[in-house]
Amino acid sequence: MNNSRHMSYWSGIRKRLQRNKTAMAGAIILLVFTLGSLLAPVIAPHPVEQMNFDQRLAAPSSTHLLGTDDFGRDIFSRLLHGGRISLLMGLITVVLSTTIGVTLGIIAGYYRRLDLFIMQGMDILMSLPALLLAIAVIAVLGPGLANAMIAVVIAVIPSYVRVVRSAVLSIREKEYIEAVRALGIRDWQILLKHILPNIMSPIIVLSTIQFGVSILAAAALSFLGLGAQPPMPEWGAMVFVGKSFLSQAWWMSIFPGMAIMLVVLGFNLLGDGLRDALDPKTR
Amino acid sequence: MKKSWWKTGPLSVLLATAVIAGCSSQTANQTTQPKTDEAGKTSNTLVVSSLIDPDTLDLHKTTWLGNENGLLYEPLLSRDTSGKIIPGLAEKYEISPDGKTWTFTIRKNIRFHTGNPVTAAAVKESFDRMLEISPVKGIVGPIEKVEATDEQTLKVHFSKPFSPFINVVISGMVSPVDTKAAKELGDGFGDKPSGTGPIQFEKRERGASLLFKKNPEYNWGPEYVANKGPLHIDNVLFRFLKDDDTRMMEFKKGTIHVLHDVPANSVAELQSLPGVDIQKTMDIGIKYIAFNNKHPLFSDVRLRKAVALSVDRDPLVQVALNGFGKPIYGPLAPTIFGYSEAIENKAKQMYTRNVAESKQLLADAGWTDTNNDGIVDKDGKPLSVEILVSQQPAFTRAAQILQSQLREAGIDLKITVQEMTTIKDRISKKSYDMALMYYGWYDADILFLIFEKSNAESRMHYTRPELDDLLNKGREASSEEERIRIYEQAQEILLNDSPWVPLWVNEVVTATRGIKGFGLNSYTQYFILNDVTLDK
Repeated sequence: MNNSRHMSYWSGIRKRLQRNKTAMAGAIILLVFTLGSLLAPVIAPHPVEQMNFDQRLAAPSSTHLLGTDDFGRDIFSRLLHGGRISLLMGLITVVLSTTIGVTLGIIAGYYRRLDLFIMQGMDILMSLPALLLAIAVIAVLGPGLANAMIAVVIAVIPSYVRVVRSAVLSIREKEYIEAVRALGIRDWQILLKHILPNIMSPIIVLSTIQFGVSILAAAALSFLGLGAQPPMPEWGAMVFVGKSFLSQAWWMSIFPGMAIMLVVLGFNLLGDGLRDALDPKTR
Repeated sequence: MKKSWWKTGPLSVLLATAVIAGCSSQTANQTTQPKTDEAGKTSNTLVVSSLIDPDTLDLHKTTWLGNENGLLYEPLLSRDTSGKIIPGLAEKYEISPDGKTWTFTIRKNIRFHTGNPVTAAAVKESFDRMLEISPVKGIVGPIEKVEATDEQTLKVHFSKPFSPFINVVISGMVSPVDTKAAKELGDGFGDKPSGTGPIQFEKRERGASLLFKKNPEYNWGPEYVANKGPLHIDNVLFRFLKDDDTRMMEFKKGTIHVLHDVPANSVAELQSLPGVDIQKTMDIGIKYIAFNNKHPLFSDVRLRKAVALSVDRDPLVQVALNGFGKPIYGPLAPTIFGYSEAIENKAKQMYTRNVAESKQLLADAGWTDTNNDGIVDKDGKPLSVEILVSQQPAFTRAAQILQSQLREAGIDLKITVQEMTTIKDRISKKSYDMALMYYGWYDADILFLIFEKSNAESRMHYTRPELDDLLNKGREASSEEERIRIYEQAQEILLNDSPWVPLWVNEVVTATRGIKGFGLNSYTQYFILNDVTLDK
């Protein structure tokens, strides 16, 4: 396989992705949120922790674009800063669960003797609802953002293992793998150089969608009071706090809720687009 | 595309209505159940929404009394709505000159819910059972023995004079229990309790509701109510709804007459509803910041004072409690015996927020902001402390405000939210910096229960022999004036040493609707149900 062929494979995917309008909409949403979060200290109109008791529960206005919360803190500024937490948390959980999940999945798919043990472990995890599992993990570790991330990672790993294992299973029987094995190449080289590149597309699609799932799960945990703790401007926690003011200040929970929804929607749209673009049948 | 006929056809409508009908008949059953249980057609039930389902209705096995398990029993003495001591089941009481013997004269012709007579002997039995099995028997003080000298006379002998006993009696923790019934029922007494209160036990659904019916024999109501006889209402149903939104919704719908512990941010909304009556009572305790006085940082009084001086209580009350509370600077709440206005004023003078003074104290202790990050530091380490907070919304909100206030003085406060049991465990192990805590008790003797050296071990780890002496004297002094004087001295020590930071006294808000004659006694913290009638 020469280099230019390789390039055209990826550029073809990019072109197909760009033609997909919904995927681009997802990408644009994510770009806006990522920029907003990265530039939060610059564009936030008010200091994020500053309390202003005269401005409690102020409705959206020109000074406070999205209103203020029960401490008079500017919700728009908190949303921008909260985006950093949510996106970073999504990134960390996805990187961690991808690394662990892909490793376990490859091992299970390639070394058939270990398959049973790993997959039974995963089946046990999958037999529990993901959120319930996360709550159980937090019950052991105690509430907090870091523990919420660990809980989410544990809860999403099985889905990676399943996908990766089945992809490896189909590829390891291919003739070219048999050929490299016949050449006496070491197992880890086969795994890294010949199998991993060929299962990249399901991993990319899954990671994109899991990004949204992780953010949603972490927000759900924070909403239950198990994840991020006050005064952290985590979106789920903001919805939680706003819940008890819903009749007086709807903006306290609606806007962070919308932010969660948009980001998760963005990841799902992009993920769907990537799947279509990476699927050889739609070429 | 082929449509599934059953999704759009008439059958779906039928299905849907069946489901809805099923639901509604079920809910209807649930709400009417208690009413149909009671024999009369004229049955009228007062419905109360309450937060905590009591652990047990056996007075001698519980650690905590609310209206649910407290109104079943009646104390020997009580306080009226202005705080004056009034007779309860005892017509009068007398303390011997040496302060060691209390003599109560029990009223005649009173019966327990089972019909067993209330005699001095029965009350003695009740005391004996309390002293034997109660998990909180420590509060009754150094009782030597209890004896019934005749049908009506009960004598309680102490090894040392114990003045707080009057408030132990008033608290209801030693109210007469029908020990005859308790002996017959054994462990089952908690499910079929018998006392002398205006309501008697009828039915319980654990975690959901408690149904009481009126005590038809009752004719010994306190002086301050118009109706001394049996209640006008036939039943009282306590419903335990934990979720604030659900409670509010039910109250607005009219299925609840009394909403106890209204969430602070909903009071304004309720006030605007027609026919809703709002009543407030001051709590008999305070919320405070507990320091670990053995902590390397907080063993230094300057640091404790620096924290105390950087706290502004008004925003705590206005924002965290939506105004339903009162800032408190001294150790005791105004509803507690031993509260002194002079002390409170002095405390206010000493500890009204003063960031400059707070910073000065920190500087004296060697903490200054050398790297201009807004946080003071010493030997290159920033002053960062952790506060343990339970998950109650008012507490977590107060903690955030404290965080921003302490930051202005240069102290970095980290908030850790944990279960109350975990917090108490960490406190007794001394593995904490600060914690947001509360206490509630009827007498200044609470200071003994918190600060005396044997008790301080499991709390703030602050010990001071002079304070112990005073607190012991306060237990023994016989006259009220003398006790107040002693507790003033004790409170003064606490002001100077600042082993804690008193923050606020809660106001418990109760909303009622569709009833008349409902009252609250802030000195006993109980509902007054004697004059309640339902509107029809």
